Amino acid sequence: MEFLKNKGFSDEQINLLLSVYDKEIIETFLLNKDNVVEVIDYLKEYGIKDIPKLMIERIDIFYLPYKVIDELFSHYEKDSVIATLDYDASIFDEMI
Amino acid sequence: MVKEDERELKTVINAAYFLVTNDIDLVERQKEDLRELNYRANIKRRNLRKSIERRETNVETIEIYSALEKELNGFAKDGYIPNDTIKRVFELLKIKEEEQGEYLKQILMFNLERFTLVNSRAKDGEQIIEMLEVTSTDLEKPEIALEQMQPIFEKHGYDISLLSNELIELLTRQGNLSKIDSIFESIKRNKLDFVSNSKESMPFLTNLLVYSNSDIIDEACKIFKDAHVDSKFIRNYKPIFFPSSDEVDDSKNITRRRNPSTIIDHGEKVEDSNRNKVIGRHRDFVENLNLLESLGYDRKFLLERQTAIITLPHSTLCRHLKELKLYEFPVDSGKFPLSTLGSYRIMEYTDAFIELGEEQYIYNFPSKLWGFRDAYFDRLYTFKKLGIPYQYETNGNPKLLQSVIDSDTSHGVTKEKVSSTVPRDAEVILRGNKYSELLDRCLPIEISQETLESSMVRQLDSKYKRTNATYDINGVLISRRKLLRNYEFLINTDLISSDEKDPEQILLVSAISKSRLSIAEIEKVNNGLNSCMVVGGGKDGILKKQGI
Repeated sequence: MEFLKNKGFSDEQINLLLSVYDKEIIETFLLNKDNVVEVIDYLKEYGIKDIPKLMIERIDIFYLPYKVIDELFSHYEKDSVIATLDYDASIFDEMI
Repeated sequence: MVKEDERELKTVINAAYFLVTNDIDLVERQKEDLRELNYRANIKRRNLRKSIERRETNVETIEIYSALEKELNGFAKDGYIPNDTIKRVFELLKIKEEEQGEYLKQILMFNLERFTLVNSRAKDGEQIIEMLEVTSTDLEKPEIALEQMQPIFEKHGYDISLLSNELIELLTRQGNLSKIDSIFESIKRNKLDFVSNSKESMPFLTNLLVYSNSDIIDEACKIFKDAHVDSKFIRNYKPIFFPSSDEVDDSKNITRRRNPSTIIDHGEKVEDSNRNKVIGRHRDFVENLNLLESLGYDRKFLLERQTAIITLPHSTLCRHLKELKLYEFPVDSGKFPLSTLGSYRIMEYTDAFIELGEEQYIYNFPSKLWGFRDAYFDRLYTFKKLGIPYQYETNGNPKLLQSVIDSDTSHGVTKEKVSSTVPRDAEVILRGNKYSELLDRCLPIEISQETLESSMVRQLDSKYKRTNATYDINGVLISRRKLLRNYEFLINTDLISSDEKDPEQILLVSAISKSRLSIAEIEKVNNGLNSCMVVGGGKDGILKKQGI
């Protein structure tokens, strides 16, 4: 999980992530780490404030190519996407 | 040895084998798996001891189980399977010489991976090499020379010098020239441009060359093509290019009922146990797609949006679906939020929501089962108990305020406050209870028609059933399905002998397991349940021990 530390995740956040998700989910997540890094960078750039929290609540977002996320977000106002996702990540179900 | 025992022992051996191959450093969850395995061996031994007392089995069998436990602990400690352990296990299990070959092959494959992975960091490398030499005599597979592979790499535009020593080791020991060529062809044919000629791609490429085959790659890519899904999505589906653990790799005439091996990240230390391996999910992926499609979900949507879910092991997906169906979530509606299928605590968390009075909420927002955690329930309990507003309405449905769960301090509800508010009496009472320990280790998922039609359940239903999901027992909310599935499991399990079972205690444990209840509430539940038992009260059970 070193790559997450490089992206600003704390040990506590990483441990929480590992405890919240089944190892089968984590395994495939780690195999896609290139994509995960791209998505983190994209979300940061987009303006999402608390990426660790988002990942802990909705790891599946980080399985998607960032271009797909961008396309999903494009249907909404940017400020509202940021505010909503920062507030409650389950809104993502309505986006996909 | 009794035939059945022998079979079970072999299963345990295989389980241990799979367990230790999963990772190099046992992470906490895997330690739990191991403890679970040892626990089961303990239970088995205890049962065997009882049957020995009844002269139903011989002393030799129980000794074998005791020895096996030691072996299992040895595996966990050392992380690989030493040669003398193999010999001991063979002797122990009386595995005939002609049957030993298959086990040896599997153990060799495991040890090879261990060697490949730990070679760069292990201090006891020599010992491992020695062990490899001993166990490899059975395979007689010649190594491929690097010089033989180089032209094939060049022909397809790849630079073999980008491979690390570890990857070369893997490739020369386990590669096959014609297969390597055909896989390169398949990569080109399917335009897998993420498998590029770069250092970063080499671990994945090497694993493809060793553990995959062109048929699997072609089939996986065809699925995307047929569904008109852009090839950019394929990159995030690496596990589907490798055989699932139950697929047989015939290419080397080895029956490999296991996941493919470890990859080494070039230039990086092997620091965490999960990062550096490839998981084979090819068949899982195909079966998951077919299954979810049959439930009304669009294949293109699944491929483009549900990577995390359709790459789960098929057995996991099936189990999660079964759990959701048991709890009557409309999972076959074609519109259900599929992220929920990724939660591995579906039943436990649904029970918790129900018992906190949030049945409607979790049925309206089932994806909250994904990424939720125990601490949230404790905070929710505290907010409710202290009368702090914890919800708002959206489209007529109550939703939880994020402040309930987002912060450790919002509304003055600190961790200390939570800790002093949430009652742990059920947890304390059930500590060391044999039924509760079983429930912790097994996850009951069945509620049979027989149970539903039993006179006791009919009484419970008529007195306390508020909805299909909830019992209201004297003002205490209990998840109905939790109670019923726990009860059915404990009553029927053969892990506890029939004469040791106490139905009244079983019923109470089934109800209060994993609940946030005070002593007073437990007593209310106990009284309510007793009135439904054909034979009266449970006062001789766990409550009496607590002086209640």
